[in-house]
Amino acid sequence: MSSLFPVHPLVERARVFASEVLRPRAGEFDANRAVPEDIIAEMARQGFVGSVLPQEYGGGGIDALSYGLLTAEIGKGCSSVRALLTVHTSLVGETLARLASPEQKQTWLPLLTSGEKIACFALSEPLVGSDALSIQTVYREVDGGFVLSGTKRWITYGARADVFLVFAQSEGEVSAFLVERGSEGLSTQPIKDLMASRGAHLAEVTLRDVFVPAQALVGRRGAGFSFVANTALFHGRYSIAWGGVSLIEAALEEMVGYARSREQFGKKLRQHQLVQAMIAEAVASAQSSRALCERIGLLRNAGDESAVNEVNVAKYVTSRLSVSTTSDAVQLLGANGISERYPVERLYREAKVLEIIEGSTQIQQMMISDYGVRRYRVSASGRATSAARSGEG
Amino acid sequence: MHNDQQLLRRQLREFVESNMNVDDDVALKDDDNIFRLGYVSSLFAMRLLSFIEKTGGIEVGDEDIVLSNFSSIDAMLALIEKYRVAA
Repeated sequence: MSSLFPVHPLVERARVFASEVLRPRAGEFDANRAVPEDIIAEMARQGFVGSVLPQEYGGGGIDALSYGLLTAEIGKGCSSVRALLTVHTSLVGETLARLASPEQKQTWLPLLTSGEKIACFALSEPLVGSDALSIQTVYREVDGGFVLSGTKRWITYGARADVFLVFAQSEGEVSAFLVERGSEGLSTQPIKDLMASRGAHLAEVTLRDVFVPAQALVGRRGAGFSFVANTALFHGRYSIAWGGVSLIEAALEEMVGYARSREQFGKKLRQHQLVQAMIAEAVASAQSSRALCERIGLLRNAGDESAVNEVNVAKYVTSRLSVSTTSDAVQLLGANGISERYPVERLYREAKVLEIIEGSTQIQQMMISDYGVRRYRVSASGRATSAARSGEG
Repeated sequence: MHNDQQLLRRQLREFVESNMNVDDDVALKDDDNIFRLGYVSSLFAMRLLSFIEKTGGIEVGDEDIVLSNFSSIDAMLALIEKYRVAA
């Protein structure tokens, strides 16, 4: 696809890899309930998992917009493989690159950029989802480090990860820790009974008096939510927003292919006006979603911190449009739409997840509303505020 | 230096005020704890960090990335000054 701005060549490599390797096998990963090791290794070998991380630690150092485009390409191939980028690269890698100590960066980033270690993000718990400040996993300081206890659930790539970015609280003060697999007291239990994300190695993670050394603390004590989790979720939402673009475009391509080939009532489906309405809606959804995400990428490339608010809008819009577009794709394919012989039923299942993770649609609505009442406030003089004019807020 | 600090103070104030979830009759004081008073959410903290680094021309070390350094305009100015003196 032609672009109005410079795009890193790795994006084209991702497109080829996704179309030649991932897309033909995505159904297999879904059915087998696992993205296999050869795919994870190839994602690392081709430089995709390290793409956006700093070059000084072995990453590709590509710009944020190119990384978003790369994420979309991988997601078009397979949503569960895109999830690897979301948790390993966006939620953990980019957060460590921003907030970790120099020693932590030296230790962990080369391992993450090379894919030698796979990382995951452990915030959600059995009783705590959106209300993240209420996590029940606790930590206490001991000689030489900390001891963590609690249970994390719905941890994407948790069954496969080598290192976990775990959030725990002590007297209401949330802190973040890097916990390695193999730590005494840490265990993972794969979660298989899922409607979607079936290949993404979801797990429940149990921590029973797990000791971590002092250098495992990411950021300062008490900075776990305000800085670490919020930074991670910003990167995660950027990734999920692009994941929505993936599903919308993949569904649209399936709709177009089917509508051009199948005949009913003596003419091609694409010639029926009600089918045309669905395709038009999907085209508009694809293009508006992509434009919205590109804007966030450009803001990030410009170092514009307003991307932090704007990304919520992008994540909200693309996740919702991915549900409606994939639903239309199932509808357009009729009985074939609900068959596993066609990919649209899987796309439909995967789309719904995007409305739940990295801040549900309802959490996004609350944040977007808060943002909107500032951004679109008109002053007493009848003029838009400076924040609205400049696009800040 | 004095003018520069005044400019920085004004920029910080404008940035914080344009992001406060409050009604128009709230007057922000330089020593107000913007988080404790509920003027902004914790999500704003990471935006403040980026804004301060860009506007102040500094890079804040991980040891200083704590909420107390971003809780008021006075605290943020002190943080920027600390890095400028050390540079």
